Amino acid sequence: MKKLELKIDNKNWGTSYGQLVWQQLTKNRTNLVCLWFIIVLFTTAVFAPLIANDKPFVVRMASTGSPQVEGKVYFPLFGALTANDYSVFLAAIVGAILLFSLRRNSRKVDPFLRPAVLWRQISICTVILFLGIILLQIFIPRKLDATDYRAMLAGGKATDAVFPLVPYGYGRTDIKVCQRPPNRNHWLGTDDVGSDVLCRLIHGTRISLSVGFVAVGISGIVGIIFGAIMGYFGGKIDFLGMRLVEIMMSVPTFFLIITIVAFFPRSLFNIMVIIGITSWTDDARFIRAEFLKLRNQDFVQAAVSLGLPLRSILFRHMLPNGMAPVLVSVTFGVAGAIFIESALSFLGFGVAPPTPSWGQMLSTGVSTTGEFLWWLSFFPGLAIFFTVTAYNLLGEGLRDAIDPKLRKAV
Amino acid sequence: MNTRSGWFTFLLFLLLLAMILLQVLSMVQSDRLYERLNFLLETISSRQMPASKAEPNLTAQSAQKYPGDEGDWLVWDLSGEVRTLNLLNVDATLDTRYIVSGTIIEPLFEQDLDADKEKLKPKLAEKMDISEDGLEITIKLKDNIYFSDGVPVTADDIIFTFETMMNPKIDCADLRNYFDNITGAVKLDNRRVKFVMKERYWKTISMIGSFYVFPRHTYQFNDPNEFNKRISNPIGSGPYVFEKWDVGQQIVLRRNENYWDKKPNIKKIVFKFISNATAALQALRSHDTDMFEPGSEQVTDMPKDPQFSKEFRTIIFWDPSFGYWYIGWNEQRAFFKDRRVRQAMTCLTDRKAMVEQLTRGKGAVVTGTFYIYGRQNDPNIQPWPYDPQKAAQLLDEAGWKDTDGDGIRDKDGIPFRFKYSYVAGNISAEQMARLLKDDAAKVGIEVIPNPTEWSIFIGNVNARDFDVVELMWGGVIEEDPYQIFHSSQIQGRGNNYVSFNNRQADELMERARRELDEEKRYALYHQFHRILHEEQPYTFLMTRPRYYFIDKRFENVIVHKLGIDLFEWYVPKEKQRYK
Amino acid sequence: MTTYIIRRILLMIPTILGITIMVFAISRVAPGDPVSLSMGPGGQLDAQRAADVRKARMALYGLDKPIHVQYAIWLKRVVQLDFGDSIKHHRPVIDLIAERLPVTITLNVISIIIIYIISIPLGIFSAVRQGRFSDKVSSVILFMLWSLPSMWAGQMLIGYFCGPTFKNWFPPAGLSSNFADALPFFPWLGDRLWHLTLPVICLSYSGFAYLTKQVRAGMLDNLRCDYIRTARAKGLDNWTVIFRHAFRNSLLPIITIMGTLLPAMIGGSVIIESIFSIPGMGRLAFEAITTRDYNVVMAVATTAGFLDLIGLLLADIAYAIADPRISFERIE
Repeated sequence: MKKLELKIDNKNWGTSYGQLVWQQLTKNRTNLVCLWFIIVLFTTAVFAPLIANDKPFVVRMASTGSPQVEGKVYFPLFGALTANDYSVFLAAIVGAILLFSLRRNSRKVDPFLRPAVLWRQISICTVILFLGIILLQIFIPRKLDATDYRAMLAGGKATDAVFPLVPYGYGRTDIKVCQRPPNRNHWLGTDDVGSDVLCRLIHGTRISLSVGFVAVGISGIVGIIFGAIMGYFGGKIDFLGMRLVEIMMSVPTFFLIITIVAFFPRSLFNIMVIIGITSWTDDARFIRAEFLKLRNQDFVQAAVSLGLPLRSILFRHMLPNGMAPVLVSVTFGVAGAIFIESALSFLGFGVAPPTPSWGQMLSTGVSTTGEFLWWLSFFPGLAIFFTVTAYNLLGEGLRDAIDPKLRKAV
Repeated sequence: MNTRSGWFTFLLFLLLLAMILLQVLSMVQSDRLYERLNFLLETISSRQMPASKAEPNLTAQSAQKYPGDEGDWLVWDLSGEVRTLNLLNVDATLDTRYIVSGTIIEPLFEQDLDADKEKLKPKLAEKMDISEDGLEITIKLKDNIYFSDGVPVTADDIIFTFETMMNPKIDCADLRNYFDNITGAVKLDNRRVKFVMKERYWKTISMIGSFYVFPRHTYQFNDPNEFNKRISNPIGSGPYVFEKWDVGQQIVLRRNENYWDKKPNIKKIVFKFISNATAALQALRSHDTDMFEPGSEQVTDMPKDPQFSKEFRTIIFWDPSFGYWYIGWNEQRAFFKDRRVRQAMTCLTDRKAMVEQLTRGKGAVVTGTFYIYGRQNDPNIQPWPYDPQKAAQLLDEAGWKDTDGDGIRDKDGIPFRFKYSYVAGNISAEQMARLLKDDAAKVGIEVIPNPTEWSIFIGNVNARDFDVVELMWGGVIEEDPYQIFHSSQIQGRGNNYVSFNNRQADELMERARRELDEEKRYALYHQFHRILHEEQPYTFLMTRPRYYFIDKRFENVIVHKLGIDLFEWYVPKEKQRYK
Repeated sequence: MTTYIIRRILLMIPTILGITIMVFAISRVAPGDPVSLSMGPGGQLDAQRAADVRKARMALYGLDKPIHVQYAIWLKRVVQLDFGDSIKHHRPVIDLIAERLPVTITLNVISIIIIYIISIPLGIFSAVRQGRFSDKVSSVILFMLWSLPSMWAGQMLIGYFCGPTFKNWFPPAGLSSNFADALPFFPWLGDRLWHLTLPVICLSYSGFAYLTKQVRAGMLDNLRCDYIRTARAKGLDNWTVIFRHAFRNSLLPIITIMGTLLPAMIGGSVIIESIFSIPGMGRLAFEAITTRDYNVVMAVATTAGFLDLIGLLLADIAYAIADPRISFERIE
């Protein structure tokens, strides 16, 4: 675990809050395991089309064949990558760059300047990301390539081909091998139309991870801001804010979902936004309760009398003390978002097929009448279980790391 | 001691106690509410009952019954709860008919279950005379028939039912449509009614045949809304009488001891509503229920279990009311104007494999809109084969080729990419969407599955705002395809939403409507079937038989050509479960 | 404090009005209407007739008037406690709700009680034994339980415990057995509870993890505080320290959750109710939304809104009772 220790070049700087939390976090072995698991998950999500795809990386055509193609070498997989795939790669690269610059900042940049530098880096990266995505969506064409390369290999039309680890596509069906249990060809079995379960599980990682993050991100941010303002000010602002919260809570979620689904095309992003919009009220109420309790305490009074800006009082002083319930709620929320998506699929409002998502696979596994196809619900369930556990344990570790009273000697 | 904490714990305990009390009360209350509801309904209806005038000849009739031991109940599990027991109401579904039609309220004639075409047997009516020009039908009721309260069935009841149906304020628009052709019903005498029609139409004759007779003395109303609201406690002349409806749980019928005809042996029929398929199977196996309709997987796997086969009977029969699945191609879109494209799409759907996998081989591919074992269907027409190469060829012929190398065919700058709409939550539709998407991709067509919520789906279909839809039609033993395929039904909210417009087909349908001679009519429909097969306005997918699991203690369960008749069943005395 | 409560109760009225306006607006904005739905593609109607029939039916249900007029009419009737008739069921909406609300409330209240009875001691236990083996084991078990989606668990339970396949311990569906009406009160109650066992299990097992974690988090926060050290130094025994001091101070999140449980009850159990064929509010609301049965939707939203507000008010009052440091007034 040496790699994750931070070396600080200038001893005069001391350790910042972020560094402290990081050190506490990485001391615990469970947290490290969870961290590595989440990194693996992210990597799988980013590189999914390179891990599981029915098109080979490279294929050489046979020398007996039509004169146009004989002997030529093609790269079907790379040709078929969509604008979405490239956007995900770009986002991963940008994220990696940000993480590295974070490390570099902690070593090379003066702590007083660090926030400003960080903000600048974040804004540059965001701009690059957005521009990149827009350009990619415009310039990468939509192609359709449904050639059966394995059949070509078997039939002799192609001589060599290098396939990815799982040589199946998530949209490919083969009704002759539908509903087979795990076997040599399909390591985790096939579903009701013959698609490979392992491949769909891998591609589903993208969907499930993004659902979790975006939904919880929206609900967390909106909820914390709302709750903080309501709890701190009290009085009229609290009144009006709570009325708004009550109205939001009382509108039946399904209604909103159906209405939004009706108006906007059936897309993953819309579902994430809906889940986020309908769940911020819980976090707001937690933060409000905690802030109501905290605002009369001495350290808050001290901060106010010092004349610190409101933003600082709320988020640098009060929030770390009131974070505990929100942390629990957020870590559960990520998994909860996955479950809500699964329930929506069960009721028919989830992502459109053939896009795989763990929730959708789970609901198909459940609703087959009659015989019990265990592999259809077991593997997605296992994936959800591990992800949920990892997030939650990490969240608990984070909560413990933030708690100043648990600080162990460095 | 801190008084605050004391108060606090006390309040907490109080709250707990209150909640427990509330639950208990609520459980008792809700059941009392059901009882009150049923009681209220009964008292309302009983108030409208006049004293019976004619004394029914009980001794002679009650001796008549079906052979076998009397007694026992039949507990039938229907998958979804019905919303109304009023047969004339537009929300009456097939399940409503199972509960009420023939059991409580009887029609004038009933379908002969052993025929392969529409053949009517006398039920309440004795005979039907059709005039020479086919425009007048005279019905003569049997003698000595009466409702469950003893009041005799007369021509007034037929007139009443007819007028109620045609009343625009009564909520039964779709049924009314079929009687549109009738200009009036005339009472000739106490037992005879004459129906006068505008034009010759064979379907009107069969609709008159299956006409239900509602008792005027219990259903008459001043305000049409009274009738619309009367969703429970149906009363009629049938062998069963309505006993109660526990909303959300069960509907109970008991045998009409004053029945004018042969009485069935089963004393009570209880309808339960279990929507979950696994739960329904478990309920059957624990003998909570006696009968239900399983899915294809269950009906294939359960009989393999010897214990199951010892206790339960598996019945499979072809039922015209089941209907068929289809994919509709919107001919107003550029892609599907050309019939070769539609034929190509049909060649891309592997219907045989669908039948194998989705119905475990029990179903059948459908080639047209008629019941596959009925006389209107031409059995010599072979379905289009699953042949992607032929599809590619047809597409090339129609001018759809991949000119820009992106793998998708196009023509005149339009890429062959369309949305495949189906009802969200429908598993078989989703499976078919994924299969079609993959098969079509192999020939260069991009299919975008578009699951839509039911109400929005209907809206889109009515507004013709779709590329392709996947749906299902219910069926009858003999049907008139005019509503679905005639060109006059394209505009507005008609049912020809794929905009199928074929001169020849129109003519055939119009001629067939007027044709009262059966054989000639079937010949016309065979020609029509051939045109459908060539034009492929739909890709006709498949149909399957009906399945039932029935407790083996019921004897004499005969599977006729067209279905089962539970009045014939009985349970031997030693095996009876309920008293 | 009393002025605060009175103000809150008075404010419930405009809030409920706000809720009803929002729900009304959303339901009308959503495409589709109940009349077209029941006329559907299976209507077999002649094209020419269909338009007239549709217009007539819309007028019959008052759906052709402008939206604000419809809302005003609805409001006038609701004030007289007349929620109108359901278009699909052709019965007064009040009857529908009166039949189903007790069932849903029973189901959910029992589940809530079970969740609290199990989670609070478990949470305290985990906090006290933080980091030790028992804490980790209970964490893993709770997560495992939580990862099981309720629909899957429901199907499994029905498949294995409701029939001859494995053990035939519970009934697979419904609220009462065929004979239940004839039974006297206590056997009838027992039969009811027996039918409710599996649905309650399905509803409650996923709540254990969340509540336990919240209790644990709150307790951990407090167990490290100085005043706990003081209490221990004073010589108080462990029980008193944990329950009378630490636990009381970590009540806030628990009370918050209790406040949200009442609202979640109404719509939340759709899946369980459909799996176990229980006629409850969840299914009623869901079906009403998908068939655009406006009267039912508005009635359910109003009822749910009212229960929400009561729940939130009780939670806020409980805050103030539980923690004397909280006051709702504006700080100067």
